[in-house]
Amino acid sequence: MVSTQLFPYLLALAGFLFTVGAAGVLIRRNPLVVFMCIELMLNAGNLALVAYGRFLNSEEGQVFAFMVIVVAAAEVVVGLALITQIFRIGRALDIDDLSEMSE
Amino acid sequence: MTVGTTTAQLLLILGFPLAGSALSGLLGPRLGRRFVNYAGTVSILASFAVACLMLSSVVGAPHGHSSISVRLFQWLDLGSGNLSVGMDFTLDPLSALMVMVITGVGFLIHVYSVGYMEHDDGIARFFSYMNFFVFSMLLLVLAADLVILLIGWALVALSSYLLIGFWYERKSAVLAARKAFITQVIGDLAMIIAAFLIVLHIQTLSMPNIFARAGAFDSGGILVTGICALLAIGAFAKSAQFPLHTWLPDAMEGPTPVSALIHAATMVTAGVYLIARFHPLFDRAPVAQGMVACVGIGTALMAGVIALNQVDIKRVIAYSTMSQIGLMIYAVGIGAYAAGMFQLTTHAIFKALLFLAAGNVIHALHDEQDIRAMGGLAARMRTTHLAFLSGSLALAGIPFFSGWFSKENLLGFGTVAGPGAIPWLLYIVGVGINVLTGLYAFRLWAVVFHGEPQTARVYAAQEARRVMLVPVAILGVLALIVAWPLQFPIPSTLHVFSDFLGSVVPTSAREPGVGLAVVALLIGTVASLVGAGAARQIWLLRQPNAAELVPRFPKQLVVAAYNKFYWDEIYDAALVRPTKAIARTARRVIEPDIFDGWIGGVVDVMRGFSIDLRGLQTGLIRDYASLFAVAAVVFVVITAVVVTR
Repeated sequence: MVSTQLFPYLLALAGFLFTVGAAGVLIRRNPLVVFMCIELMLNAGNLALVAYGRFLNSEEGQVFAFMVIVVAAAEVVVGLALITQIFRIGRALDIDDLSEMSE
Repeated sequence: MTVGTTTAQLLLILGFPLAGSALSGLLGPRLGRRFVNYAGTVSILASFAVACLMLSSVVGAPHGHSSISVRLFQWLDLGSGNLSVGMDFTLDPLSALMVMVITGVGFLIHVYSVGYMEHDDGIARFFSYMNFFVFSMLLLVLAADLVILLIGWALVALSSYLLIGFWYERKSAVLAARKAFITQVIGDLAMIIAAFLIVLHIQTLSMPNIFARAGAFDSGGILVTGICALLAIGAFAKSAQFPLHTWLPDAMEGPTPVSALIHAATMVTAGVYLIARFHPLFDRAPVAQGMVACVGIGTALMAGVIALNQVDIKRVIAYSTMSQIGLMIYAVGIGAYAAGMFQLTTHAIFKALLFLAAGNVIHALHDEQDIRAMGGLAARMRTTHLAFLSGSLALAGIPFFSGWFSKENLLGFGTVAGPGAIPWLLYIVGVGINVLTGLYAFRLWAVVFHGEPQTARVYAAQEARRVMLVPVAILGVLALIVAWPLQFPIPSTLHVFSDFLGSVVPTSAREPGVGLAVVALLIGTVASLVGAGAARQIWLLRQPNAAELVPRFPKQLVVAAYNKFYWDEIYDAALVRPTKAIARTARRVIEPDIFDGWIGGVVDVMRGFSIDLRGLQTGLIRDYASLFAVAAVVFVVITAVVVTR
């Protein structure tokens, strides 16, 4: 089967995308970019789930991927709303600057 | 007589003083002095009246039926019915006698208190405590269960504590009360251990069952000896016997009626009652009996010598009480239970009388208690003087006064106490105590009432009011006549009293023969007369300087006896100071270095740890995410390693 041969490559791609996302989250300071990196990590996870589902001949991986897409959509709504509001009150969009909650 | 009426009567006997206590204590401060005076005295009178009714049923009962037992309710049930504690009471001749003494003498003392406490603002508190004491004492003597007896035992100690410390603004009174209570607790502890031992061996706390199963103990065995020794320690603490005697003289800090009721007539004789009540056990423990007899006679001797060398009128009488109770303890120690109880009864009357008469003197002299400041009061206080004389005659055992009957009866049993030298030695000391008693009784009488008045206050002294005089007069007459119809010191003549108690405490098998009893009676009487006569010679006729305590005694002995043979100082040095030193050392060394040290150490470690931990909270999402990522990698690596192995 094609997918069986593709499986390691798919997993490697998922791992690569996840690493890129994680690095972005850790390195970048713009919340919008951090946000996109999180999305990248989530979709890397989705890719891995679908690949496993295919490889193991099970639908659960795809079903779970749908769940992740729904959660990601909800998260985007909340996250973008927050970012928009922060921008509106005139704060710089810098996550290192937005750390008052620690005090 | 049905059980129902008996229950009702028992409840009334106990209930009247308790109700009186509650009424005086709760309503007294609002309703005033007149109400308290009536509530306090009438409650005891009512109790006395019911007690008389019950006594008639005990006296009239045929032999073997003179004991009435009542169970109010089952209180505790432990171990599937094997061990239970019931609100059990028993009225037999022994407890009936005690009830009569407590309520009868108690009533007269309560009436007297009305006059004595006339100017005291704490009258409601006073009568509340006094009634509560009477209730506790009745609970003690009526109890048919060891637990109930122990409750009464502890409650009388509590009332005694409250009443000794009645004038609580005086430091000495508070200290005396505390001392008395602590000593009592030592005795309570011994009694509780004895109760545990009894339960361990015969699985019952009900007193009739204990006595019925006394045969389960080996006669003379170590267990029964231990139990009896522990019970005796309880009795010694309550009855102020050596070595737990030092609280009684200090207890004279309480008002005089308290001294008369608690520290002369009733509570301090509870030890004698206890040993007489537990005679089935004591009969099986000759070693414990011997110890009791030796302690009793030893205390009697020591207290007699001290009484001769004191100058405070109440302390002289207190030491004489200690001495007389020593004789009673001696009597129950040699198995002459009825004789001990007879002495208890007459002593309750004449000692209460002496205290009340002394109270009249103290009152008339405005709280003067030093006999060196008295003298010549006979002409000014005639009735008090006569009553005091009657009490002194009874105390000294002058023929045909009540004390003579009981004391000679008691000493007669000493002649047959057993083989060997020690019982005879004890008897001879007992005769010596007769001499001592005569000496100190008439020394007190002569120094207080005769000779030249020593201070100006004596000239202004007036006879007490009638409310104080009538109880004293009644007791004065009773001290003369109470023993006449009861018991004669020679066996097989008049023995109403020992017959009355016969169903509870069997007449001693070792009764002196008539011949021996007559000789003993003569010796004892002569001893008493010698003592009294010598006192008359020294203090009445020659009238030495009152400041000189006892002329011609060795100086060292007088000083030592004046200082109560230094027992307080010895206990202070042996117990109090080491305890305080240990406490101080602990405060200075153990507390700061050891306890504070390791508790502080724990706190420091936790604080340092949390300071380190706090550094992780930077507020930067990057840091958190990094930690998270590192942790996830570590977790994945560990999982991979574990799974592939």
